[in-house]
Amino acid sequence: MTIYKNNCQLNKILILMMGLGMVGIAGAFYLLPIKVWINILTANFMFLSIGLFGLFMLAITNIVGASFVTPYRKVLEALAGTVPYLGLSMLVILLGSHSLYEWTHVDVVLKDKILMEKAAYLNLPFFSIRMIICIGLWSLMSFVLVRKFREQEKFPERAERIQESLGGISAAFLIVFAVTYCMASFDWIMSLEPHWFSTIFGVFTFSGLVVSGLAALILILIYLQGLGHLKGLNLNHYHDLGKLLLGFTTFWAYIWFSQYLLIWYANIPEEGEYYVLREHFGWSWLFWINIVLNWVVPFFVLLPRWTKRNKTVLQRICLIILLGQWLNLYVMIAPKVMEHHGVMDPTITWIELFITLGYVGLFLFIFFKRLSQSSLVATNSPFLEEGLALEQ
Amino acid sequence: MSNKYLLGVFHDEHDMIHAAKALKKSKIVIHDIYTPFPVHGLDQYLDIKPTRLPVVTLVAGTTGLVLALLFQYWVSVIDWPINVGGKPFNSFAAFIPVAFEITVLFGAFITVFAFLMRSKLAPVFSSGIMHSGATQDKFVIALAVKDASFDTQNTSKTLADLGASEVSIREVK
Repeated sequence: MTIYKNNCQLNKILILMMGLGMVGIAGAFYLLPIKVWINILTANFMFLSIGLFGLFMLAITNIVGASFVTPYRKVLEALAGTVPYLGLSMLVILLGSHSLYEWTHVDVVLKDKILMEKAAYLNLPFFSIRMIICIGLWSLMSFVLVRKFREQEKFPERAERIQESLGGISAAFLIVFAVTYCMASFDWIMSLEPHWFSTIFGVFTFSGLVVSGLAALILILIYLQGLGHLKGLNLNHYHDLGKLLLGFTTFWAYIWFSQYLLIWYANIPEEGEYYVLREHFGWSWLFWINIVLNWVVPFFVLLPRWTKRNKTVLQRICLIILLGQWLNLYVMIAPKVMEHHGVMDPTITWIELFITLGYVGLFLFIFFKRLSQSSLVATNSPFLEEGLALEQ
Repeated sequence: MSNKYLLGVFHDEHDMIHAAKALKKSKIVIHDIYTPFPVHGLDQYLDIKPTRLPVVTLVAGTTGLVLALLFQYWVSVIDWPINVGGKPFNSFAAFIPVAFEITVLFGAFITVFAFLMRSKLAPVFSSGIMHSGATQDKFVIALAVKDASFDTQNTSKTLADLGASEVSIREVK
């Protein structure tokens, strides 16, 4: 089966999940309104990042001429295709900016010398402009890449030339992406604590992007193969993705520790407050579970060769990693926002579960819609044959 | 057990892979294949036990990790405690970078040396080279001539039929 047909039963489940998300949002507005914005920011950022992973992976494999992704390139294209939609839904947080961002309150800024100096950058109009520019550039790239690939599928005689032209576009995009993704994570997440700063923050969120993107990709591939699609994929493809996953979970831990160690060692109050808040005041259990889920478990599970070649093990570990990456973002976002509002609620409740499920539904709904729009085989790609014959 | 081997020498990588596949199909056990560069996808035709080198790496790395942590603990808590910015003497976070480096150092070096020892690659070992061509541009399939039941004549013919440019017998000490 080279074409993915939209599955009505699955769509019903996904719409039900979105409904649960709405229930979660309504419930949170009633119980603890700040949780609405915390959860929307966490979940939307996470799924936008997974979409961006598709874009990033396509761009980098275009540049280096990698063939190992070509058998499932269409899945990456569909992931990249979700970027404009999740980017659009990201704009919702502008409505909650007063609840999330302390620096949007003029009276607070006027009383605060540090915030006064940062006001030239941290103000709502400029913040919105940056947000629209970031999302606009990513969406543009998503459209351009997908269009070029469609062109390649239609015109075999131009396939090679299109592949070559993609190299330049991809290289330009990667430079833009590095700056914009870093800026986006500074704006959307780091500025939740406007006094605090960490120069490695962009790299840290990027490592999360790759890890969660890989985990989501593996899960989707296993699901699609279970339905009888993507017949050309074999265990060697999974093995490669598993190796990347092992490498990047370790990269994530490395960056996590790089940020932690320097701040802990320098012991400057302005920087240290970030970890003081998270290691005490009830957040510590989530703070440490984060590392167990994102590094300790995946590292030891993915170390042997056979686990990376076993779909059941991969599926489970990817679920754990996605859970961990969500928690990672939650621990980055929730504690300070709650502190601003005088709440200290370090628990995961049905509200988090429902809103996040809602986003899972939204993301997968868009993803499968994009996936069903064309064939699942990257026809005419000069790398297809080589990619299908992947050996260890 | 004798150390006699029947060698089939191939000029072309693909011919050699094809021959290995055919030998496996006709249930002839291949002792080993010698190539001038790594050839992908050969493992499946060779019934070689998986390498135990990763275990060596794991043990070596763990040893390095434990030693590094113990040493740092001994230095900064027992032997010469220094107060650094009011931090506790036993500051685990500060020990991690050094512990990581020592883990990698132990793991990498001991793995390399274990590999050289096991594959007899150091100058002190005399390793029997099966066929000097395998160090340049030839691909050599070696079959162990175990006992009289090994049909040397027929197998030689099979090898030649499969495209071996040279079939010879070699004894290794």
